This record gives sequence, C-alpha cells and structure tokens, in this order.
Amino acid sequence: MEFIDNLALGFSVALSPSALLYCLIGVTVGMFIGVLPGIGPIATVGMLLPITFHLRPTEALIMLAGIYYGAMYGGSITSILLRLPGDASSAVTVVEGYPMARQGRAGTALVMTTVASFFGACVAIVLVATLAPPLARLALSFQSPEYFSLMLVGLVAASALARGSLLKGLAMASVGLIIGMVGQDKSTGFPRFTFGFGELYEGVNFVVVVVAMFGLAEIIHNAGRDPADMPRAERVPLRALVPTLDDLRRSFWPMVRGSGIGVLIGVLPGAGPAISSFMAYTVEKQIAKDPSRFGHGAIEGLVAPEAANNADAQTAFIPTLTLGVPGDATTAIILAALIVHGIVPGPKITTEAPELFWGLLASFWIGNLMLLVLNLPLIGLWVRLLTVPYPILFPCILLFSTIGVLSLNNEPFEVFLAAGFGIAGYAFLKLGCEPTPLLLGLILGPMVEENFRRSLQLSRGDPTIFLTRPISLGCLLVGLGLVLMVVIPSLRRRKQRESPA
Amino acid sequence: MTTRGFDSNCMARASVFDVTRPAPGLERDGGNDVSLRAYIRNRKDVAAGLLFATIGLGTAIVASEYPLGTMRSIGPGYFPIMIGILLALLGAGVTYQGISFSRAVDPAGEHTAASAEEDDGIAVRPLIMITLAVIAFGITVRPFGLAVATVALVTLASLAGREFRLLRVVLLSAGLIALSWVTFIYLLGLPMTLWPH
Repeated sequence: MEFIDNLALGFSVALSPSALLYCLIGVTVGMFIGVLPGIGPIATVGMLLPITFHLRPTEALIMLAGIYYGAMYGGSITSILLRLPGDASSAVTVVEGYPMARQGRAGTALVMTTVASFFGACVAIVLVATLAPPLARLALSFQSPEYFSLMLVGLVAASALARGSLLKGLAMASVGLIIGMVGQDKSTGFPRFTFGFGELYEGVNFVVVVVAMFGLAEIIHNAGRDPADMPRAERVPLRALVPTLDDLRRSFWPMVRGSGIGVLIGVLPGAGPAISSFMAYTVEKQIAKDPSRFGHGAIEGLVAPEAANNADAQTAFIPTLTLGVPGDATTAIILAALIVHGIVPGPKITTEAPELFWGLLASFWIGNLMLLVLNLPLIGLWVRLLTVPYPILFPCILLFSTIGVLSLNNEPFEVFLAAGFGIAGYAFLKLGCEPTPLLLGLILGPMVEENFRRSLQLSRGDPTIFLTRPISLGCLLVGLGLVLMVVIPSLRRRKQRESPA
Repeated sequence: MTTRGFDSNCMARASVFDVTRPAPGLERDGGNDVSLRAYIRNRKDVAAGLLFATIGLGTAIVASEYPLGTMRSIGPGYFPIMIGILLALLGAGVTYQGISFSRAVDPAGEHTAASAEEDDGIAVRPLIMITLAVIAFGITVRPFGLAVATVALVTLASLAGREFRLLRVVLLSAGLIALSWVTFIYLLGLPMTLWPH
C-alpha cells in the first residue's frame, strides 16, 4: 500500500499548522493579486517569489503552489466578471463565463469554476500519487543524453504551442538560452557575456526577467490607455450563488472528461494548462447534443476547461519534480525556486525528500478546498476589488514588482537590469513574440548545456549518441512529430495563398 | 497577458504562422507583369526576424573569442556559437515569413503598407516614464531610503498615464510607503531603510 502510505505522509506534512498557514496565505494572496486586472499567475508567482526565499523549502513550495492556483482562480474571476482573462489558460473561461454573468448567473459561474477546479484537483492528486513513483523509477535510468533530448522536447513543445508562429517561439527559446549563458560557465568558470559588469558573473536572475517581461512590459502597454477603454466590471447581481441541481447534473461528465484531458496533457513536459483547457472546451463542444448553446453561457463549456487546467497544473508537477523538466512557465519558476532552496529536482526526489514531494501534493488538495470554502463569502469583495481604476493600480504593481527584484540580493543593479528587460519585453510584445518560451529557455539553459556537454563526453565526441539511445531517440521523435503537426497545415495554407487560382 | 485579451489568445490556435491577408488588389493582377516581386506582408515578422538575426549573430561573434574546446570536451564558446547561429537562422526564417513573393505589379507601393496588421503604435510616453520610474527607484533607494524611492517611482509612473493628478499621487505614495514598510521592512525584515541615513 505504497500509495496510501505516501498520501498519509503527505497529509501529515500538509496538515501541520505552519503548512496550513502558508497554504492559506498563498491561496489568499495569489487570488487577491490574480484578481487585479493586468497580472496573470506567472507575474504573480514571480513577484511574490522572493518572499518565499525566507521560508523553509517545503513551506516555501506549498506557499508558491498556493499562490499559483490561487492566482489561476483569480484569473477565472476576472474572466467571468470582466471578460479579462489573466492568462491564456483562463481565456476559455471567458467564452461561457461572461455570458453567464450577463444573464445574472455570475454567482453560479464563480461557484462552479471553484467546484470544477476542486474536482480536477482531486482526480489529479490520485493520478500523481500513482504515476509519480513509477515515472521516477524509469527516470533513474536517464543519463545526460536522455535529459538533453527531453529538455529539447520541452522547449520545442513550449515554442510550438506558444501564440504566434513556431519559428518565433523557437527563436524566443534560443534568446532565453542565450540569456541563461550570461555569467560564469558552470564547468570552466569562464565568464561569458558579462561585458565587464561584475554583477553579471552570477548570471541573470530569472525573477528579474519574469518581472520585466510579464510585469513591466504589460504595464508599459496599458499605462497610457484611456481608463475608459479598459474593461469594467458589470454590476453583477449575485443572486443564484447556489448552483441548481440541473447545473450540477450537466457539469458532472464534462468535469470528468476535462480532468482526464488535463491529466494527459499535464504529464507532457512543455505543454501548459492553456492547451488542455482549449482542448477540453473543443471536446465538449464537439460532443454536445446542441452545440449552438455554446458561447451563450453553456455550463459544460465552463466547467470542463476549469477542471482540465487545474488537473493539468497539478500533474505538471510530475515532470517538474521527478525529471526536473518543467511543464510550463509557472512550474519552471517553481523549479527554479527549488534550486534556490538547494533541492535538486530529479528522480530521487520522491525517495530523498518524500515529505516535500508528498506534502506538496497533499497541500494542492487542501489549498483547493480552502479556495472553495474561502471564496463563497469573498465573492462580493472580489467584485468590488475589480472596480479599482488602473491608474491607481499600476503604480502599486510597479512598486511591488520593483521591491521584489531589489529584495533578491539587495542589489540596485538588478533593478536597472529589470528596467532594461522591460524595454526588451515591450519590444517582443509589440512584435508578437510570446515570452513564455524565452523564460523556459532561460531556466533550462544551463541544464541543457551541461547535459549536452556531458553527453558528448560520454560518447567521446560523437553527436549521434542522441539518436542511438532509445529513450533519447523517442523524445526527439516526439519533438519532431510536434513540429510537423504544427508546420504541415500552415505550409499548406501558405502555398494556397501564394498561388491564388 | 491580459489586455491582448481573449481574442488574440483564441485566434492563436487557429493560425500558427501569422496569416495576414495579401494587400487588396493583389489577386486581381492576373499576371500582366512578369517580374518576381517581394513585398512586406507583415512588418512585425520582418522586424522580429531581423532582431533575432542580429542577436544571434552578435552572440556568435562575441562567443567566437571564447575557447571552443573539442568535441570530446566542449569549451565555454561551443554552445553559445551553436545557439547564436541557430538563432540567426531562425531570425532569417521569421523574416522570410513576413515577406511574400509574388509575380505581381505593385500598384503604387500599396503592398509595403502591410495593411492587414492593426497596430496601436508604440506607447512612447509610458515606455520612457515606466523605465525611468524603475531606474529612479534603483538609484534612490540605497542613499535616500524607501520613502523617497517610492515617491519617485509613483510620481514618474503616474506621468505615464493619461492624466496626472497630484492629490492622487500624494495619497497613493503615502499609502504605499506605509504598506511596504509594514510588509517588507517590519514583517519580512528586508535590509532596507525607510528614511535617509
């Protein structure tokens, strides 16, 4: 009964008073900030990350995870009430959630998204508990070539699934790899791209890049807009908070299917929750008896993606913790936080730091339960919070982001660096390049290079080593398949366009 | 991510390569001209591509000064040169995506306008003011303390907005100084001072 023992250990950790406290702080603060328009989960986690450096690893991780799904839920609130998704994964929530709010069913929509998230979390936790140990055992046989290929697939997947073109995504990932090279080379200590700045010897801290590209760039983009153009919260009548029996009956199977999709996509490295929520929505629409209801407040289209993205967000911790290859930008940040705390993610984590691994897992469930309980009385407050005008909001966000950067090492140089990356982030935003692959490249960069170097040492300089080892070859083929899946349809389109009949 | 909002997020799945309509008039040309012409279909792609190519080449050139090592034991220059060249090639590819080749006359240079893109221009004022606000905070926080730095940041940042209201800036600064003192100095004990030494 390995499964039960593991979960029991997890709950004993997650139910300790300090863990409960940090989980509560995490979900509340995450939700609070996630609700503010203009900040998605990634920026929220990035901004609050430095605070968690002061905690013990398990507590820090529990709090970060809490911030993550708290912010995700906050994104659903703004999607439903304001038609303003915090990030790509809650974009789908708008499609059915906003019409529901317009029909006076905002309360039901808000409650059902929490219920669906909780449902997805429950399914995911069981699966993670079952799947993680065997996967970790498999991963024990991994050597550098396997890791290199796996990370490559992660980068390709993140690029292929990013908004915009595949080439732009790959280019952004490469830019991330290059930023990751700044500082002393890991194996030789040779300083690279430091341009005489001693402060750069330690490399570019990823928090600086997260805050700049996901926070500053957005503020620059929005600050000059007419506040009247910014979306405002409708006055939502909150009657009908309690979902009807019909709502629950309609929601059950979509939540089951959504959770299944989320779990499947979640275990793939590089594929974030956005994909699973889009996929869950599409599936529901395809199999619906009456697809015309979709887009006009169909509850099935609301709960399935919510269950999917929550299940995904949690199963994404399987590759993150057991392989050290993050599933998306947010888990990448959490991975980096682990490394800051001196914990090296990898197959041994389930045996070497079981209380951390299982404690985190159990805390997901508890955190989601807290969200469910906390939210109901707070919905009125969220609605009021949404009416804070942007001109008041953005200086606050800017200040907290900047203090966050400063608090990393108490080093003003990093604040200046953030200002510079903010300009770069704004340029990328204007050029239609999504920053997510860049962030993944930045975080994976040093590991990719290290494993590349070690692989070549292993093979005595023979680069075909990546193709002759079965698991590595398998990974590369998956990556190639992803590329072809994306490239072929668009090449066909381009051809059609260029030779008009 | 928020403001680009839902539409762009949803559209993204539909087209992987940025698809912009060819400029009007193109299809009607029907081959009276034989010259192969290139025109810019998407300015953003061309600009992004050139930017990537420049970064890639720059990286490769700077890294060419670093020891290359051997295949058995690669030096600090090997990986940067490899990725730099890769990025330069990707940049070329992105640029190519933004250019269309067509056997068509270009009626009065219309095509170069890339009419299909909508763009609200560069937010010059916010770009300058927000950047300055962050830099000003970085410069002032050590010598003058958190209070002065906060006022500098809030004032400059507020100048990025459409309208500047003094009372709002004063109240906001005061509130934020109090809040950040409690959170960052009192509760978290960050090594910062509130007032000048």
